[in-house]
Amino acid sequence: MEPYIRKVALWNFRGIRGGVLEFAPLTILVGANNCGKSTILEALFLGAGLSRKTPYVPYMAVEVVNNLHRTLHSGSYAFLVHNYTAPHAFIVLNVEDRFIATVFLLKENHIRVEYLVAGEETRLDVALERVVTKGSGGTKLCDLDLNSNKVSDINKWDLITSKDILIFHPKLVNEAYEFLKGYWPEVKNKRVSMKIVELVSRISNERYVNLTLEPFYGGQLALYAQRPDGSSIRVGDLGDGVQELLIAGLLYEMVKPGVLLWDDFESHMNPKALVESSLWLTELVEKGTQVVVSTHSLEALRCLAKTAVEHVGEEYVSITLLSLVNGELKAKKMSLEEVEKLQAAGVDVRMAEAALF
Amino acid sequence: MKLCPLDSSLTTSIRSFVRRHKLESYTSMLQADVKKTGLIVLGNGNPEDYVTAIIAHHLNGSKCVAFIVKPTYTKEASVNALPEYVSYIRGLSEPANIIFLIDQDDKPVQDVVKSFVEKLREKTSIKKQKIGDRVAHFECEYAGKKLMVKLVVNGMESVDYVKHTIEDYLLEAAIKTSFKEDVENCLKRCGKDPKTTWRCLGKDKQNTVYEKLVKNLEFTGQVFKELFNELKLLAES
Repeated sequence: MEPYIRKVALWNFRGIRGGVLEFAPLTILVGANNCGKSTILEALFLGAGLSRKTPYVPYMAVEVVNNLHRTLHSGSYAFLVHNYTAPHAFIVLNVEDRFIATVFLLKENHIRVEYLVAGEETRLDVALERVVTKGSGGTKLCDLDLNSNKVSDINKWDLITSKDILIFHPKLVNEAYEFLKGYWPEVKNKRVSMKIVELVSRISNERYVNLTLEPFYGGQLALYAQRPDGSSIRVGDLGDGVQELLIAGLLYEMVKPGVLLWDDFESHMNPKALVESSLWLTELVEKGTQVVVSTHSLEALRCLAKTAVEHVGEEYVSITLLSLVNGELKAKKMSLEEVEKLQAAGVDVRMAEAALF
Repeated sequence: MKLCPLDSSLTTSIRSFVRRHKLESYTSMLQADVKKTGLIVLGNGNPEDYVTAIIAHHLNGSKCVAFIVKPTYTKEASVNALPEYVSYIRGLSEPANIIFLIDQDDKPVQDVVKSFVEKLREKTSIKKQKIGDRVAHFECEYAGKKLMVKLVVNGMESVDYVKHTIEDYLLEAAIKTSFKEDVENCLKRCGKDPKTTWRCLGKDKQNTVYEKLVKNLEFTGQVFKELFNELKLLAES
């Protein structure tokens, strides 16, 4: 069982000035607030093709990430480069035997985004240097506006990796709903909904048998979870944890990505939900999907790591502790046993960045 | 000296105490130019954390930081966590200073020290040791790393309590803060147990005692003689 993404190297991407991170088939990212967990997940997501279509509305990967960061009406893609001013930034994914670089080149009013692919890291480094010196030279993906949310001159709408990389974030539930509504015949005909409601029923006090798309009062379409007696409840009225697992599950089944990224995995989940979600994610890993999650919860970390270690083996699970000081990303791999021994010693790995790095 | 607690429970306790008493002995992160002076291991927990925060407040400003932990192992068994500290905590000077702070409880102090030494010997190779009444210093090695392990056993032989803990000193401080009668009454009610007697005094009187300790360096040094000296050495190391 090999991880699809083996490594990511980041340079001037968002808050990270530089850093390299390795991945296992299941990687759990932990660390303080603002230590780069979300940035890494976003880099992996964008690294598969920044202007590709994704299961969200708006569709484009970079627009999805922009939605996560947009504050009120401020619209600009400058947030993608370090300090909003770095002249260039890279995301380099090492997937299988290839190195795929997404390059951000800061121009006067926009960021030009290109990509490069190489079979060897050294060749990629030479090519990257040439692109940076010349200000272009790779295959163009698109231009990102520095003064608005506009993406223009799109050259490639597809993936640049061989497998898709899907991100899920609790903040993206509405964007995912819009996508699912627009693709409802596919959701129904792929029989995705029945499979996922079964999973969701395990964490809810009610049993659901299917999902439907029907009008609510006023005629607007909404998603409903159907009970065995035929009555139904709007998905938006279910608990947040139930909704999030439901949406993550539906998106996964629709996209069947090679890699699933889940930011703030524990968000809104009680222990019962954590157990079921951990079993589901472990099942995905067993089937060959790489999973990378971030969490602030030791309970979630334990639950997922323990489930995965029991089912797929310790060598396929990595707990990665992150530290970000002055933009320099550092990572430390730990086993669940090490995390627990430190906990018993009075050292909580999430709080002990100052001591452990 | 600033204290950097490494788990949420100890952080909550120290952070709240420091805020209430306006102490300058807490930090949650390290600046690159601040010296990491050592690790303080609390064998019991509270109110050792409060006392340590007060003493640290009196020592050497913000020039150095000591990590502070409360392992789930208690008393002498807290030495069981030593391998984790040595293996994972980075940036401590060599030899790494590690101070264990434990209560004497209902055993003779020599037995506590003996039990600690036995456990320390199981975990490390002791090269040199110097054992005093309530303080012991050990030069030892673990996994090729040199350590300076120090033990401070809390308690006062001079008082006739059923056991000896850090509250012995706090009650002494309370007596010297004009609560002599209250302490005597509480001792009677609590069967001369220093822990329950200290609790019996109530929050207001406890806070008055803490305030006096915070304001008066000399008084703190006199009351917590051994611990004060060891933390002073740590801050100056």
